[in-house]
Amino acid sequence: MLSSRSRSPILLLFTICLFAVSHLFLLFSLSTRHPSASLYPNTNPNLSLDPLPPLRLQSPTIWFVFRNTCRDTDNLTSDGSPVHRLIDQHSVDYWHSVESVRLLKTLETECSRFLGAIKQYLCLSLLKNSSSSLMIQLSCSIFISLVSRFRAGLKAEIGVFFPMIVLRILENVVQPNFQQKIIVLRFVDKLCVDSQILVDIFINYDCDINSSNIFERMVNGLLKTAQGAPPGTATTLLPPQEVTMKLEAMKSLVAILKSMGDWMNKQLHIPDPHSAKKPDAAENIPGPGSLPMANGNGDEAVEGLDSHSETSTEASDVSTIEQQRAYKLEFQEGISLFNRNPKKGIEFLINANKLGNSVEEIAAFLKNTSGLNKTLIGDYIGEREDFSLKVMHAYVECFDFQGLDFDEAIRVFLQGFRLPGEAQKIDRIMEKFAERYCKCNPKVFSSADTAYVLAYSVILLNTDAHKPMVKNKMSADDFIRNNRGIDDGKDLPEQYLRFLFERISKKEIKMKEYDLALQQKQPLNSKRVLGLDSILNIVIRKWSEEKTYRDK
Amino acid sequence: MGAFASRFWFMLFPANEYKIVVVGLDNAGKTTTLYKLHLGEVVTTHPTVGSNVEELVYKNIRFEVWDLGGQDRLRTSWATYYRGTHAVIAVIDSTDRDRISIMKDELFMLLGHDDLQHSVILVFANKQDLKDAMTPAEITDALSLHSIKNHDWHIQACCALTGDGLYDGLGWIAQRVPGKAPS
Repeated sequence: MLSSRSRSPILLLFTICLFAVSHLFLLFSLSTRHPSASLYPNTNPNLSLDPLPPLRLQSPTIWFVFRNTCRDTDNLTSDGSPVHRLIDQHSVDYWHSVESVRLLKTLETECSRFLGAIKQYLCLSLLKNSSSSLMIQLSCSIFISLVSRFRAGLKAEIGVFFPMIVLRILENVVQPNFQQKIIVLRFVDKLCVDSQILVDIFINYDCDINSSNIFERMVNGLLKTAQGAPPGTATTLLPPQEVTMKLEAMKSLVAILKSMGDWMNKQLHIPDPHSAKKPDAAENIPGPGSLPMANGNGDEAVEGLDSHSETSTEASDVSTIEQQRAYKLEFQEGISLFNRNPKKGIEFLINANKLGNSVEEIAAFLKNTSGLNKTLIGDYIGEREDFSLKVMHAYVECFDFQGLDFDEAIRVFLQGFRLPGEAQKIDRIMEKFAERYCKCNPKVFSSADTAYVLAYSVILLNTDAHKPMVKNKMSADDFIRNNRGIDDGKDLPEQYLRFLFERISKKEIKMKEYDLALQQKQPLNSKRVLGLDSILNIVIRKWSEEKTYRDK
Repeated sequence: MGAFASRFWFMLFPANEYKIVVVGLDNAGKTTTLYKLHLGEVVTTHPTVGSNVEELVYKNIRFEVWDLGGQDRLRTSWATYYRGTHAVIAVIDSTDRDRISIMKDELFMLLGHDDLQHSVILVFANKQDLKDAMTPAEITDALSLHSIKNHDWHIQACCALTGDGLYDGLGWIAQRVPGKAPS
């Protein structure tokens, strides 16, 4: 593997080539007017039944251009250098791609495929660029078109990007960046143009137990911005900027209110569920007619559902949504209680029937629930008490380490919680880990004991190599010496230990950074999207797979 | 004789930085001791996954204190991590009469270790504020500290919660390791 520094020019060159080739193909297909199906690996055989040939002719090529544009922007930012010059050029391409995808939305068969492309390429590109402040304007403009046009198929993705792009800036009250904040406030204004978007956001995220309270957070962020930084804190803003920002935030709040009012009016004037149904509202986003109405209109909606029994199964009931919301609020109370006192939080959730009282269920809760403070998860499963021990064992049993390298398995294992620093706690947890690892990979070590000692040794190495206060770092030879005779009195192969040493000292074992930052910023309000990690993993894995494929 | 050897050792190899290893059973008060000794704010901008390690400066000597526990089953392998250790702090729960013999075994196993030949031993008789706490004299007997011949040792009554006695103990270590002001 080449180092990243030496790789970047090659990648750049490669992407430029790809780009050139894709344009050539575009020219080619336009001039010959033949569908170049071989370019497109997932070509649907039913495509020939399509009644609109000209669009279909271009679609694989547009898809191709779209993909490559997204890839180009990925690579540019990962290199970190020539972003400025190329951003304008690419934003045009971007818009082009998004617009062309919008055109293609009329073709339902094409649509699904482009949705795949958006998911795979555009979202990845957004993901990588959202961290850069330069890209915020562009990200926002792409994101708004995603939200307004493709939200039906992009629930998980929007759930990830909303906090990353919008809420991150909106909720930063103490040291805001004026320009970014204004851009985001504009974004909110645009969002309010279509009141259905706001309603959909509330229904799909705030009422969904598995999602973050995006609407709530957005309004809270606006409120805080409108109030300004608490008195006494130093802000980075000039007084006129602060006034403008507060005013803009107020305007956005008014816009949201107005938008909600409009929506209500619309519902009252058009009570029939069918005429109000939008074409792009897919199954996971309930159409407007089936949405709950907060003020007295609910009965009417229920009536409408009753009279059309075949649609009532699809449509979400008002009370169901209200119940979901109530369930979610109580569940979150349990989570915030957990984040103050893990035992009390779990007790509360069990008493409220939100959680079963078996160790397996609690372990699954610890492993899968978002918003739990990872340090406290670690403290809880590190306890010496009988019950905590059992939960810890069940927690470790949830993992499948089959086929993973030893250090990779440790990394995977330690991502979900913060390993407590106390020796006995590390000891208990890593002993169970080693047992599980050997169960999944019976051939790697001669006994679970060997794995256990090595696991502890690896943790010590990680401490040694990456804690800033440790001044005299261990060398590879020290590490090998430390692990002498751990394999039932025999030594593990020196090469293997050296390899392990290199891997750990080059790449620190750590938890997911994003969660960490989020938890630090909002200790009581960290309502992350469930499964964010897994989504990120999928996207990143896809990208890296592709990259290795391209590198070959 | 042991005391003389270690003092001689430190005279030969003076350092500005000393590594201390904290051992003790579960619930003995190791973490509390560590945090109480640690000066100033705990800055955890990016907490590293791993053992507790604290840095503290006392009398111009920098100490690097590692929580290495003393596991239920002490293994020679990570005991090798004691290499370069100048002092061992054993934290004892003075109320835990049942497990003091376990601690004794662990302590002696530790002392037999090659890498700890030149280190001094400080025993913190913790939780002295509690009613049924054993006195330092009782603990000295229970741990047979008098039979330690190869190491310089000292027992210090303390209460980690309030911090009483902790710095007296550290002062003893500082005397034993002739440090110079860090440059």
